[in-house]
Amino acid sequence: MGWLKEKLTDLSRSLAFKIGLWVGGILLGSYVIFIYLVLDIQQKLFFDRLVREADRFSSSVIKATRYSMLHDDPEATQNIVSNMSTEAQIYAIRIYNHEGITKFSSHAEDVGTRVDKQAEACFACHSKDEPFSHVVTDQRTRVHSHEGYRVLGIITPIYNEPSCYTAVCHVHPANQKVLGVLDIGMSMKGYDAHVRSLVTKIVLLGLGTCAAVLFTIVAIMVLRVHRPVTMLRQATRMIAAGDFTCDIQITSEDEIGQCARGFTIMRDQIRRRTQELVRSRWEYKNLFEQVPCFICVINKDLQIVRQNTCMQDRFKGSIGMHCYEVFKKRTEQCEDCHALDTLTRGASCRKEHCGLTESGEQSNYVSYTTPILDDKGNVIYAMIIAVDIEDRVKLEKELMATKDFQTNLIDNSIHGIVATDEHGKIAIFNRAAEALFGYTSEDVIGDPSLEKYFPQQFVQRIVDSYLGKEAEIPRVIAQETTILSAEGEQIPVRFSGFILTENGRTSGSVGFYQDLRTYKKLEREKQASDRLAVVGQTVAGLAHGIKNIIQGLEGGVFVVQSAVEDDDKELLARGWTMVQKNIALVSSLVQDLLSYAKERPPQYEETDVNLLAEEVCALYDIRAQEKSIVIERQFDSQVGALFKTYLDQRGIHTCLSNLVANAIDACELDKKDVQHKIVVKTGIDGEGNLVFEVSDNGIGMTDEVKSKIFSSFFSTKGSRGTGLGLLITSKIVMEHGGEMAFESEPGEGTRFVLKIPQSWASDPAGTPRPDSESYVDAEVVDSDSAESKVSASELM
Amino acid sequence: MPKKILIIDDEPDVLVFLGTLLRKNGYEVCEACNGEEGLQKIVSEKPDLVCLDLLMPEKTGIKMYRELKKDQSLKNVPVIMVTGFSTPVIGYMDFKKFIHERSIPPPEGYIEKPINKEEFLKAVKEVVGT
Repeated sequence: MGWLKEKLTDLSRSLAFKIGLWVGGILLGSYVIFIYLVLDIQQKLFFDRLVREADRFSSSVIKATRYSMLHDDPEATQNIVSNMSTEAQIYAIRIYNHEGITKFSSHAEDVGTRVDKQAEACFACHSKDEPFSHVVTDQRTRVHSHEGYRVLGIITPIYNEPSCYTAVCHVHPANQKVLGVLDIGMSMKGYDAHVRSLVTKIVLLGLGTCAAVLFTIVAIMVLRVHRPVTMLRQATRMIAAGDFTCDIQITSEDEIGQCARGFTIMRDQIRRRTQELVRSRWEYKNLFEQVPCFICVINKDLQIVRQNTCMQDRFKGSIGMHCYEVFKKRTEQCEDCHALDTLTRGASCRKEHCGLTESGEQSNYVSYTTPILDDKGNVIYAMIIAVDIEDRVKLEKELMATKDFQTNLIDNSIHGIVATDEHGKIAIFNRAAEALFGYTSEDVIGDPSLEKYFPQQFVQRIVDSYLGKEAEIPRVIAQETTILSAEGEQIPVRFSGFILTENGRTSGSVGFYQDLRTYKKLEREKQASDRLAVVGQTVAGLAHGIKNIIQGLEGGVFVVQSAVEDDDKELLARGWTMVQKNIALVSSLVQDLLSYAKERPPQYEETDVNLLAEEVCALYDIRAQEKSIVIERQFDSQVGALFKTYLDQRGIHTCLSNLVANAIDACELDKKDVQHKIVVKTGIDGEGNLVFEVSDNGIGMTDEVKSKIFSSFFSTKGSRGTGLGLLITSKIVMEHGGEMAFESEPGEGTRFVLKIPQSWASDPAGTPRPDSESYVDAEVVDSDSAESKVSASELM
Repeated sequence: MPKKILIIDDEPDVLVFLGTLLRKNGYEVCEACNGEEGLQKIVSEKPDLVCLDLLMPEKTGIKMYRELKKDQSLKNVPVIMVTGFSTPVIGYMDFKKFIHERSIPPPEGYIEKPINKEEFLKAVKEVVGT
């Protein structure tokens, strides 16, 4: 029943119902009044006609009875009355005399009865208790019921005319105005039936019209108003419920149609705005919850009103707790509370804090507070956004530790470290550098004159890098050079330098200095001791060599002796040759020994390397040509062009001569049918070393021979060689600080390489000559040359 | 029938010296100046003893010795190894180590230069008799 009641309530509230009710009510009221008025007029018309008819009938009765009355013939009068009363609609005809006694009546029983003057029909004339002389028609009628129907009574006075009072009967005196009264009773049956029929028809017509009008109005209202309004209403409800799928099917052009179109636009706008709102709400909610910050909203009592998950997870606080309880596990507010500033002044503040988590760990965060205002602009809440900077603080600490570590490392390095900052000024000058240069770091830091500390070439590179020139190799590795100390001392160092870049931009440079003073001293000592060792080895080898010669001599002597005994002249000659040869060998050995052992100090002089090599080649050209061997020169013109070279010319001449002579022998021994060729090459290798190379395509060496070629008195030349040539060569090279290497394949040929360090070549005494260039590019070590290199010093 | 001894050495002086010494002591002597020739002579002359110089050009004494000992028909020919002084680095110890590592039987005698005539003859005598 509830739904019915609801429906009814809805209906009673509906606009269509109300309009229908009002229109219907007014219409119905108007109709009722209209019908009433029409009926009233009609009834009156009908009644008047009836009265007139009765009046005419009364006149007819009077006229009909006049004659019999004048003749005083009551019988005839009675007959007339009786006859006329048979007329339809006539209920009764009575004639009263002056006394009120019924003289004639259509109903015989009434004759002779007297009517009461006070009776309804009589009262109109006899109310003053006297016979009236004249009456109006209106007052003569009366309506009364009789046997279930209504009867219209009309009385007509019969006036005294001269013919009456002059008649022979003399019944009526002349002074009598009214002789009697005719009373006609007319049945109103017909009249009533007619009126009823009229009323019924008019009422039905009225009601029908009313119903039709009402129906039409209701139908129009329902179709044109109620339905669209209901649709709008439902759509409104749907939108209110958040459902924007409603589609309003109203196409009319009237106000409701316009309203519907407006509604559709409004719906779309609401939908769009709602969606935007929902999305931004979702975004803000997400932001609030997911942002990796601690966010909470606090009220003026510093109590948390809202907090995000991140904060909840970290500090385990709950709504209603005070911010200081949650963030710092305090019982009272912080002295330096900046949230209060925000709450009182409405200003945004920022501050770094160290909080405590539930587990008691320290948590560093930076906190921002912003006011939240109500619509009047008063601060009601403050929002605290705290960003965890634990990692940053940790990194800062680590960075500090790393910096300390590096500072320590740099400061305590045994090598001097000098670095510049991005402006090209000295920024780092460690203790070792202080000790090396003799300056204090305070004096040096910020000094832009880099040439005091870095080799000229490196300074040039730094300058180039600042100018944006692309350096081929931005570093110098292990370059031996010298620096000038504060006291003016030339100190030998091994220098490595690097240009530091950051995103392609020069951010500084750094140089490392290894003090070589001790090293140089040790090197010289080692050379001396090496020489001593060589002397020892030489003595041992010498003994063997002498033994060999003695063997030859002994053999020769024995052969001579045997020949003399046997008188064998041929044998005698052979024995004597043996003796002579061995004596010659003694002489040669002594020569070589003198050459090797002689403590001639190397005489370094400025040397044209290529000219020196050419001299050697020229020396052997004729001898080589005799043996159909070609000596090819491959001299690098750059050698000596870039810097001056200081060599012991005689020594190097001896070395090259030895190598070329060996090469000629190797070619001579080789039985291959090829054009034998010796290549003499000069050049500078990747490390800046001066290089001499002598290669041949001669007989080559077996592994066994290779392992012994630097041994004293080893010779593959049998009795022709002393076995000291390569030993002498390696000694000279060693004196130049260089090394000697070779590679050889039996049957393929041999290649000897002499490497003399550029620094040595240009500066044999370990100190640069004023007119010499001590700096040489020395970088990438050629690690690919993994050939079978045997250094002279190793072999000795 | 005197015993035949093959001397293999690249030094002609040594060949003359040892040849003279052995002939004077009643041995028959043949000579080869390198390992290659030596091997041929061992086959052709069928010596009772080989005196082999350790270090020689072409085919060194060691290589020749190894080939000799590998050859089934020749491995029983006794050998006296002579070490030259021009090779102070490789002494007898190195040689012994060398042959031991390669499972080669050691030579029957070993003589170092300078050759002492008496010692040499004694060693020869021990191997082949007078």
